[in-house]
Amino acid sequence: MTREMTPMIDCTEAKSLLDELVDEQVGESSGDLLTEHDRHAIERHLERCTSCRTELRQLRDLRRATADLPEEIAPERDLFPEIRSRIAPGTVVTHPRAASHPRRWIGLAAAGLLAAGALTAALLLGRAERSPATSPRGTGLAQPAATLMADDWLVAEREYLQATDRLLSALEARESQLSPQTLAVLEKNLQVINDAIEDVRTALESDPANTQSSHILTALYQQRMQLLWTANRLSS
Amino acid sequence: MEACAIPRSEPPPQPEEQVVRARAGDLSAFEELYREHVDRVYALCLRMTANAERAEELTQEAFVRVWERLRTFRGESPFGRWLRTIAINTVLADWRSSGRLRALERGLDEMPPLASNEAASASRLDLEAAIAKLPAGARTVFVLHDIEGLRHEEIARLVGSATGTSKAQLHRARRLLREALRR
Repeated sequence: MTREMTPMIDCTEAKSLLDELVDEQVGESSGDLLTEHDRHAIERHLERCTSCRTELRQLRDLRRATADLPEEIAPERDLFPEIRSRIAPGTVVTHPRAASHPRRWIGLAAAGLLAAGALTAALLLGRAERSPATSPRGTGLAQPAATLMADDWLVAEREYLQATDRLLSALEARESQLSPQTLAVLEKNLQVINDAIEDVRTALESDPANTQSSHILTALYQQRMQLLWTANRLSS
Repeated sequence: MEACAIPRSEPPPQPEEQVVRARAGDLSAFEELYREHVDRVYALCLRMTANAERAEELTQEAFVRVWERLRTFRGESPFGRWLRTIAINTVLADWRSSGRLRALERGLDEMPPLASNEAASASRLDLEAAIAKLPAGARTVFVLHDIEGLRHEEIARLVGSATGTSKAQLHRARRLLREALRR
């Protein structure tokens, strides 16, 4: 059937074909093609219908905007520690070489500390550090950080500490559900993270505008929360 | 079901050696694969769920499943495609267990109200926000078809619905998105 012989269709029928037409026109058709008959019909309709032409243009714009969306979105935190704990419980592994992406380097830097070596056990984090209302920056610092750090960062830090506090309280209530071996691993890793947090915060004391240090500190807080969250799940 | 193709551009070819090592139980090789692919998998989960916390959990679940099934990966399709298909199935399985998939299959999920202050421009963030506000069924089909590049037949097979349902959901999603972005 030639194009001229194709019967006219109304707007309702035309609109039902616009999706597939636009997929063909933007060159990203995923194989859901129009038949020749339908293509002729919609083309004839579009020649006469301003409304459907407008809709086609909008669909084309949407399709192009969608094609420009990024294929990748980075999660807010490093998800691998929990994956590792599920597929190889109790295993502490050496991380691969740092990736080129700065975010990944931060993630690896924080996670890598877990494998840095054993220190003394420290399941209970410093209670003073966990009292954000009175000391948002924690203990062991040479001077108050509130004067050195941006307000928004302090707010974020306070939220991290409050969340950590909740997780730790929950874990303490269920500590008996964890094996001595698991507790030992937990204590060791918490101590390593706590020491790293202390080091980075000390570094921020002398260079409060250093965004790399603040990013590392954020990653360390997330790492600690992740560890406690995982321990809570194991004990529940 | 996990062999369906996802005809989108692939990240740089994976060194076969990484997959082989991971399949042999090398956790560090598996972590390298994770680092290479996690952003793509998370984007998929985030767009399907419109929930960052759930997307993180499902991303983790997907990688755990990948680890468990690595022995069955024969390399007939790129590792990234195989991985993303597992991720799609992980999200759908989660919905199945919560009963949401039945609504998706029927195409009856309720339409949430669109915010009255949608931005007028079709910027990326506007579009991402509008996608997140789509009803689950329409959002799933839109993400799988228009972003991940699956065909309606593949979507229907994964979801367990008719091809016509997938087409109707896509039509609905695009209409809602155009309306949202016009405001």
